[in-house]
Amino acid sequence: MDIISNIVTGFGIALSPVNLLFCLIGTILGTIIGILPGIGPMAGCALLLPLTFGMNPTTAIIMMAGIYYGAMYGGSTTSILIKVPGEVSSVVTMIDGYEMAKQGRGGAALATSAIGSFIAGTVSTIGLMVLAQPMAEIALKFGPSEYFALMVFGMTMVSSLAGGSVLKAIISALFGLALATVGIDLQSGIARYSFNIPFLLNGIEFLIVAIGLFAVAEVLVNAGQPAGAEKKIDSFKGKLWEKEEKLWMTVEEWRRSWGPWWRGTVVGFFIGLLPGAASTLASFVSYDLEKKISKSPERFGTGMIEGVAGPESANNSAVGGGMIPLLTLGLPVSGTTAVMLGAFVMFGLQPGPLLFQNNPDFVWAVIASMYIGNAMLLIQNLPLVGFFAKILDLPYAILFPLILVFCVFGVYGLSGNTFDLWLMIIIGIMGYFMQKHDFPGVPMILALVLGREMEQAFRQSLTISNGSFLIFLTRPVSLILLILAAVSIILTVMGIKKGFVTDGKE
Amino acid sequence: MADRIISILILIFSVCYIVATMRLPKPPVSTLVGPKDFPFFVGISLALLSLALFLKSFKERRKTDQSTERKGNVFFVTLALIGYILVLQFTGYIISTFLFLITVLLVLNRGKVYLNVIIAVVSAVVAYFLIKTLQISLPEGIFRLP
Repeated sequence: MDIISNIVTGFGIALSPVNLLFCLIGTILGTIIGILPGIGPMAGCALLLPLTFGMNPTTAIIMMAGIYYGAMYGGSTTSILIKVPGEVSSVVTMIDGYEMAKQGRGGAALATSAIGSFIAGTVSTIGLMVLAQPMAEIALKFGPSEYFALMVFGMTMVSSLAGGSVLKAIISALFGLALATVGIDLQSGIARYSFNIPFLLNGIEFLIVAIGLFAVAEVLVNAGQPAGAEKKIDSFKGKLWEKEEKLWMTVEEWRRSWGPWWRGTVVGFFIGLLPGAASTLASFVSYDLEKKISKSPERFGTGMIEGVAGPESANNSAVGGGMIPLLTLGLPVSGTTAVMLGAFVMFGLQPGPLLFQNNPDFVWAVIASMYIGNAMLLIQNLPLVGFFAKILDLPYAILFPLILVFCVFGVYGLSGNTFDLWLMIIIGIMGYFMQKHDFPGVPMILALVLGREMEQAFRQSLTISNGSFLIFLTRPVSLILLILAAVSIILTVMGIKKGFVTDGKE
Repeated sequence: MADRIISILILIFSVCYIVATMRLPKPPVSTLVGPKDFPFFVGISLALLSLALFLKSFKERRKTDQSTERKGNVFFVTLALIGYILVLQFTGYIISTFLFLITVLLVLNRGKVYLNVIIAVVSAVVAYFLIKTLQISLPEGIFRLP
């Protein structure tokens, strides 16, 4: 079997001491990031990327994947224990998880989420192993018009699922595309919109925009939080366990978690394949599903373990699912995978079907390390929960200046010129206003990362068709993708998603 | 109201962008689809959508901002960050980091002078070692580092 021998090679590389060490560091840093409010996995990955300079690409990406997974775990810890979801995707976990913690079953809630995440991570990694190669083969048959349609589809899905106004999300994406056109046009050699600034000739580095938009802007927004806003969360900290009971799950809790783990895993994996707010959506869908098939749906929201086990498995499974379009098509499905794509490119690896042919060692090592990362998280999460919870005591006033220092460090370390630092500040201020006025940043980042590829595909398609736009509509695959893109927008505008999300929140 | 102003700003941006696109020089080798087409497409879409947002802003009545946001803090942090970059070029990363942290911490984390000084010093030292181990080139400024 090809896959088996590939994955064995992958494990061989991933299990080397250096890679194991950085996988461990990645998962720990990721967990901390997930716990800290104000920096999500996306900003976390962007900020920590400079730490990987000088590493070999495999090690670097292994560490990044560890950060990503760790952040997902960390986010659920805080939503269960103190009702602060570190990430949007753990908002649902909060509903029943926090109730469980109030009843003294916080330990069981954390355990079910850790085991569920582990199962989900494992299964979705296997799914990735099996599906990646065939997907890559299909993708090889894609022409430029299919790629263009695929990117349009990805961007509209992300825009329509970003929450809030679709119009604003698409404006944000188009602005990202406009930013992507800055710099020398590789086909004609003409410098576009660079205003004779040498630093702009190579285009705007996506990482700087990501750091500005998600780290600097986030700090600014939080700096403006009224005093005492963060105090509210301290009123109660969930208990890990009641004195007479065990920290670990009871037999009854095991039994009740079993179904949701698997259902969440399957649901999450398939939703993860779709571009959009994958892990968030996956957790909502899973919660909804558990509620629908439950014999006592009215008890959801009062500390049902099913409401923790399902969504937590789903959002982790979606991460694995999301790696498939990233690795095989070069299509990031979320903000974090967009940052990962940027990291790939920085290390000179072009994700897409050819990656499997040209860099098989790299791909399989990363896939293997995702599995190892999941195991590490399971082992480190339960004993270290107390320590991780302590991180939350760090006051915002100290945390935020340190984040800014790290931003400057990251951006300067990346490019070595002050121009990019100014750019970071400008983008940060812009991001602040974007957040204040509900313009989502993720579509913009995605567009910036995909912009150049998208323009190439656009130009190649039109060259093939002699300038006729009909090429996008006459080729079946691109037509289907464009129709799906249109449908995703229409459905969102009609408010279907809105009704759905509020349903999940109840 | 805010949306109306924003939509006008985006419209201005997209018009400038379209104008800049049209003023791009002709490529030396003329091709069917040149460097102007895609930006043109993007610019027009952006302009149309900003118009849509403009029109939509009349329909929606947003309740007045009952904002409790501490704008002063936001402004202060922004200024401090700008100052940080300015100072960075003269004194190098280590010293400017210390100065930035101590300034921001003394204002935001008031009353804990010792703690703030310790954090600022430790961060600057950690930064120094990170730079050395990762061999990242950060500005050394007027004081050369060993």
